[in-house]
Amino acid sequence: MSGPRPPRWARALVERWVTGAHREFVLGDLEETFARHRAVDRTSALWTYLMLGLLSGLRDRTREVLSGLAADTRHALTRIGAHPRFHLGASGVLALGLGMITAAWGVEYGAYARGLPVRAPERMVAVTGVDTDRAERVSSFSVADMEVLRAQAQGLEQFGLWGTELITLDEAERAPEQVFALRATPGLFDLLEIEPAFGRALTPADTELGAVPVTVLGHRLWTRRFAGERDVLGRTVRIDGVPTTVVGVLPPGPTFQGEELWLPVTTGGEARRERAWSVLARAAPGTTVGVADAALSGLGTRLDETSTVRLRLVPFAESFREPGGVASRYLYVVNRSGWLLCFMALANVANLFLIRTRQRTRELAVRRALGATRLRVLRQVLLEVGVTVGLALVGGALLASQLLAWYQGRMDAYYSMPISWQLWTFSPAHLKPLSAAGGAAFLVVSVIVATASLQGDTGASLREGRGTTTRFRLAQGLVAVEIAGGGALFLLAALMITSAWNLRANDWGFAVESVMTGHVALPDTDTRSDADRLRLWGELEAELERLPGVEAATLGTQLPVIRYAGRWQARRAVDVTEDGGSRASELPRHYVASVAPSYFETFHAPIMSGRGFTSADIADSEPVALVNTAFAEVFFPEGDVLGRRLRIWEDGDPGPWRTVVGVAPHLWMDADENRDPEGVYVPLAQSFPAELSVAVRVRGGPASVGDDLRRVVSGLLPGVPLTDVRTMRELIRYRTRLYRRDGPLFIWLGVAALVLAVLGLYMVISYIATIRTREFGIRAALGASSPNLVARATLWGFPSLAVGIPGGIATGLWLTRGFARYMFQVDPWSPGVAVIGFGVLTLVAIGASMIPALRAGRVDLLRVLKVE
Amino acid sequence: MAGHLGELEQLLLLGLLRRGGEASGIDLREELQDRTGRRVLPGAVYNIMERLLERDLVEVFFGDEVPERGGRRRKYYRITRAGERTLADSYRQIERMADGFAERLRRLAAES
Repeated sequence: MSGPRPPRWARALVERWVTGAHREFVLGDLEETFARHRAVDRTSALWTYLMLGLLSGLRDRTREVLSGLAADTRHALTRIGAHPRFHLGASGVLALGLGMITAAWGVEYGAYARGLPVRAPERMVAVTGVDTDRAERVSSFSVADMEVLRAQAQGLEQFGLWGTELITLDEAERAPEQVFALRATPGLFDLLEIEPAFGRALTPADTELGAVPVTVLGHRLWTRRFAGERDVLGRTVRIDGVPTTVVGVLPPGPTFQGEELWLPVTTGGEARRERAWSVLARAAPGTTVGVADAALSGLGTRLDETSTVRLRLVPFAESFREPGGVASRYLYVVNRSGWLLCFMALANVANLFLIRTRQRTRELAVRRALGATRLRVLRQVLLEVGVTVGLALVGGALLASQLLAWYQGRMDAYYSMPISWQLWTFSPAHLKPLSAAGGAAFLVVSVIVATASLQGDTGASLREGRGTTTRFRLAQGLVAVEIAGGGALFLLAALMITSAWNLRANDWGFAVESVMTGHVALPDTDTRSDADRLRLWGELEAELERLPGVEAATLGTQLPVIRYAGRWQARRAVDVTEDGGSRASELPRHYVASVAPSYFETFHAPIMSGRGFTSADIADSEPVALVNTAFAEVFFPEGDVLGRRLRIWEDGDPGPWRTVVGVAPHLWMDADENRDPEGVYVPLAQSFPAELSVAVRVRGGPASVGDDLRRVVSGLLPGVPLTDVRTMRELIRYRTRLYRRDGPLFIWLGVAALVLAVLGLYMVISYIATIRTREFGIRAALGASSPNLVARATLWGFPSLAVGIPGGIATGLWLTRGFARYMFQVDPWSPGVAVIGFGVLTLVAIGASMIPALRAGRVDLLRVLKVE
Repeated sequence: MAGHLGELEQLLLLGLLRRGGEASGIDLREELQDRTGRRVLPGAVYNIMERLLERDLVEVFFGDEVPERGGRRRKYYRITRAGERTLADSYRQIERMADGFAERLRRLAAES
């Protein structure tokens, strides 16, 4: 007779926990324990038994899993050791992708997310705003605004105002010099946790109206201009003509905004209301930027009664992001390129593993037939994937750190004054995207490999490789996407290479080698009348012409290829309608330069038609203008430009109607643009600019006249520096430095992409060739010629190419959209680019297909059968 | 001498002696729990006894299928001569080490 029995679930639990030979006896003991106890004790006895059983089961199961895992790891390592080339190759390819995506992420992180090097960078915020009426971004505030903020904004504990400007530094014994200055309130020192190396920082007393002007020198300026002398403290220098006392020197190291010295913001008097400053603030401990931002949003329209500005707080470095700006577009393309490369590497590795699994179909089937469970087989295969991905992670981290170090080097060379919150070197934060991408890679490859490993039943796998059609369709699909990605980045790289080539081989169309240039700006405080100013520029030009060795000298608000951001408004609304009914906001804006009559002759750039400016084109004579060839072609395509009239707006004033007297040659009015911009020239004597570039054409080499130019300017304008004294060749190099800085990056991206795409194509053809070896052997035995077999194998790549190449060109053009600034004299939309891109890609792709196809064509049936 | 005995091995061999030289796994567990208050994991008794079996210190035999075990058999262990000698040897070692301290150890055990 059978007595009371333990509940079924309890027995099921024990059955599940206890493994091995003892299970039956332990189950028996459970039943017996239950039967031996009196009814009242049974439940507690049962639970005691089960709890102990649970522990025992867990221990046994853990031991079993660990020992199984150890065995599987040993097996996986043995397999990896047996095929080191495969695993190292796969790891290498994936490392390339992981390294690229991490580095691409790091480029943006270093620029906008790393933050200031302070104790709590995450709490540093910039105050910005949106003018709800004008739908404009606002980033400038006044001292009064900051006081309102200080009184009302919750969650913000400290504020600093700052702004940058170019100032002229001048002392008795050295030539004046233009340097980049940071004007700030004393709070900024605390916020940035900066202490002077010696002397003192700025104090609130320095900011008061009427305070003695003081400055704190940056370390570089101190060592460069003041020879590192400690007695510089207390010395008086002239800043924009104002005697200013040096009160401190900063320690060496990166700067806040690239500044060479600090000046105080004046917080008293009328200056209080001047909205000219950026605001940096620190959120209180425990407050996030989001919370402080929410607390601030209610304050939006209360800065003053009339303000329509809605205030926002953003993480400090983020505030430098300009949506739609060149930097954003650049980062966008770099970022997407990183993603694309990582995806391509991943597709390649997935394909490699697909091929590998295909080659192992028989082995896996045998192992399953011998009793290995699906789970066991899967675990062993996934461990191999895991080790490969692990190696790739290490390789990716090394590659990313090298790439970022290289990028940092380029940036250091590009910016003479390093900025403290822009740092690209590898840090623990970079491990986040690296491990995320690595994890995703593991997951994707695992799923593909798991599906491929467990596909079909054992018998079928042993009889014939089944389930391969889906697999090579998948492989072909992956390769198509890869070719598209590779093609896109290749196109981008090709455009960059073309740009670099065009730049090197460009005929600028004007005198370059013999020209020396400089820039001179009258101070804001200059009170000269228009006539006096004209007389001054005339004297300057005449003195420059008299210099020994100088063949010609000229002045202009811009030079070919370079345009200084100064007080001359370089782009203005130009009205060619002649009816005068248009408002400035409705008119197109074009480049406008004010030049001396000698401008075109100095650059050996003759007027195309009509006449140039002469000394007779003065303020009282008929207003005249020259248009450049692009302007003439766009607005007067009939060729009837001479004698037509146009009007140039300035600050809401339409200006006089000017008669077009000539057509000027294309003289690079803006090197930033990938085309010849439409532009207009007006005579210097009819426009009275307060700052000008100078250029002299010199017999022999231009470098020798630099000091002569400085001497002439300081003789005529004491205390006003001649800045940017460079040869025209140096100026062009400077202006086109963007290509040198970023060009190699895109070229490397393109090369990496092309290599990955070619590798992918090569592998897929190899893969199909492996699958069809037997079929090819039979075909060869039946008389198919080798060229026939090669052609047949080459065609396997065709579906991938047919989808991938057009996709690549389309994606490439999409990537270059809005990226024209990075192109020099290249039109990505010209049919030639697409044809060349298509041609090169097709040739490379056919080449990649041919190698495994040739191998497939040499197949020998006897050998195939022997191997089988 | 067939090597040393672990603590649980000694206790389970003593348990066998207490049960007249042979006992099932469940009896040994209950004997251990009743006399020492120690609860061992259900599978642990079998694991230890299997180790002793490998060293020929016990031998094994099976009982009939019984209803109170859900129709399963009991697994019985019987101490061998080698097992008795090893246990005696082990016990003598403890006695020698504890010589002179027996009273004190008893008193300490009573206090704890």
